[in-house]
Amino acid sequence: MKKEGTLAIRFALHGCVNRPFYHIVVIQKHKARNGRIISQIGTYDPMINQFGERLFAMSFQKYRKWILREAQPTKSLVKMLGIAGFYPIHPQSILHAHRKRMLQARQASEAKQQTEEFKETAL
Amino acid sequence: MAAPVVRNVSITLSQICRNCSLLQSRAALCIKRYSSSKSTDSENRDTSKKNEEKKEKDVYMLYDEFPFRNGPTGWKDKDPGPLFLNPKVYNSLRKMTGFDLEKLFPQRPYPRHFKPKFRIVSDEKLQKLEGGNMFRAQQKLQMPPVMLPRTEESTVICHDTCIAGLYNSKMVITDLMVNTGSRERIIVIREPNGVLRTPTLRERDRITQVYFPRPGRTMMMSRMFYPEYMQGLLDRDEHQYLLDRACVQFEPDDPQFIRICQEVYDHLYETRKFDILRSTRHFGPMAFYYAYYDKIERLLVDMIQREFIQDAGSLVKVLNEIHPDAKCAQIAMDLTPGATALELVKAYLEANSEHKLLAKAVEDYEKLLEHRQKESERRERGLKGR
Repeated sequence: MKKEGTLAIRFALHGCVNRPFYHIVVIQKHKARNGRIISQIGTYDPMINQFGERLFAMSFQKYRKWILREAQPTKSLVKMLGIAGFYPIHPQSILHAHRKRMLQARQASEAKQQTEEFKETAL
Repeated sequence: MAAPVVRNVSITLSQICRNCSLLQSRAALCIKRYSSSKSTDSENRDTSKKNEEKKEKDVYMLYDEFPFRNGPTGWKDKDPGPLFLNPKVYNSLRKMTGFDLEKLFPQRPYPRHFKPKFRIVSDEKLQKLEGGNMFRAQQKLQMPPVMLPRTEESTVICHDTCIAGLYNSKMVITDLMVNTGSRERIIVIREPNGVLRTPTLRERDRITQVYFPRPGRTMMMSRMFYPEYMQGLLDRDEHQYLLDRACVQFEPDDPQFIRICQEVYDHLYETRKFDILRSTRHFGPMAFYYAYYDKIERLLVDMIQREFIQDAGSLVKVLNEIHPDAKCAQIAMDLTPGATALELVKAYLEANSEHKLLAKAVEDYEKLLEHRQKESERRERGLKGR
């Protein structure tokens, strides 16, 4: 029964200044970001560790259970799960990646141009 | 040795590409195969000079792989696993280990807050408690299995080029289901170039340690296990400590575990200090190693000199099980089924007549037995005379 109200599964930002750390929580939708949770089902560490990794961990069993209890995951969580391979990749992720690649290509070509111009002026 | 020693494998790609020609280990191949292309990573990095300097200084060690002493797998053609688990071999090794309660439960200084409890119990209860202690002692003597080293493989699940370049780092996704073994746990790694793959076993151990930590296990291999530091420990007779730490840190099929164990056994072989590992869980695998590589004579000499003749016989039995085609095994088969341990050792001597030390040890032991028998007879005659 819907005693708990509308539920969300989302990131709760913990950690401290210059050190973010997210908990993946099941929480009533209207509550504050770090408000009283119903259950914590995972964590996400956005800081790149010494092995070059960002660690995302979740109990998928619990996640499924709460989805069945009609909890709604947020867009960012769904994108993350798309990257994980649990859901299909979110179209916005694809778009974002495409735009990033375009930007990098543009920056690379600009940098190349600058170095060539510099060489010409030097000669 | 084929492959050179590779250490300090940096994750910064510029360093990898620079050392490209030098890095020949499997570790490097793994990184190169699954890491992002050079362009995306180098441009995503911070271009400020300070950060670059800092990154060059911090050498991020992915994992250190030191090569084996005995060939590419540490073992010869025969798979040591099934040989070790053969009941005849296994039970012989367990018997050989010995059972010294003083060594298994040594007197250690207790922390201040620990107060020993004294209880008055009935005889039955005392027996039960002692039985519990025996059980714990047997558990302490459980031998870590001898196996071939595992292969560090990673299978690609899918390659989504559409999200290449989205992140400048790997994403590691772990399923936090309790009550799954570390090998069965679902872990995937999304590379910056969009490849979704399973982790190598080395990565898997490390990631499981983050979420389900094993007490005593460290994320990266301790310096103690590097060859140059290990030598110091071995010179100070810290073989048991080394091997106990290795048992905690590594899985038995980890190539580094096998390397460390074999180095320790080789050192013991050279210094002949086999008694250090007697009555520990490492004695069995050590004896197995010597039997596998057909160099049991020094251990046999040690056993005979300490009058552990049964153990010497068990060791020859183990050798015959591992090498059934050898001369020694064939001579032993011709013996009667109820052959004593000494007869087995003599059969070994017959097959390998070049071991003069062993021959002398056996001779001395027989003389000792004779001497003892004569003494006991003399005593009996003396008593009878009175």
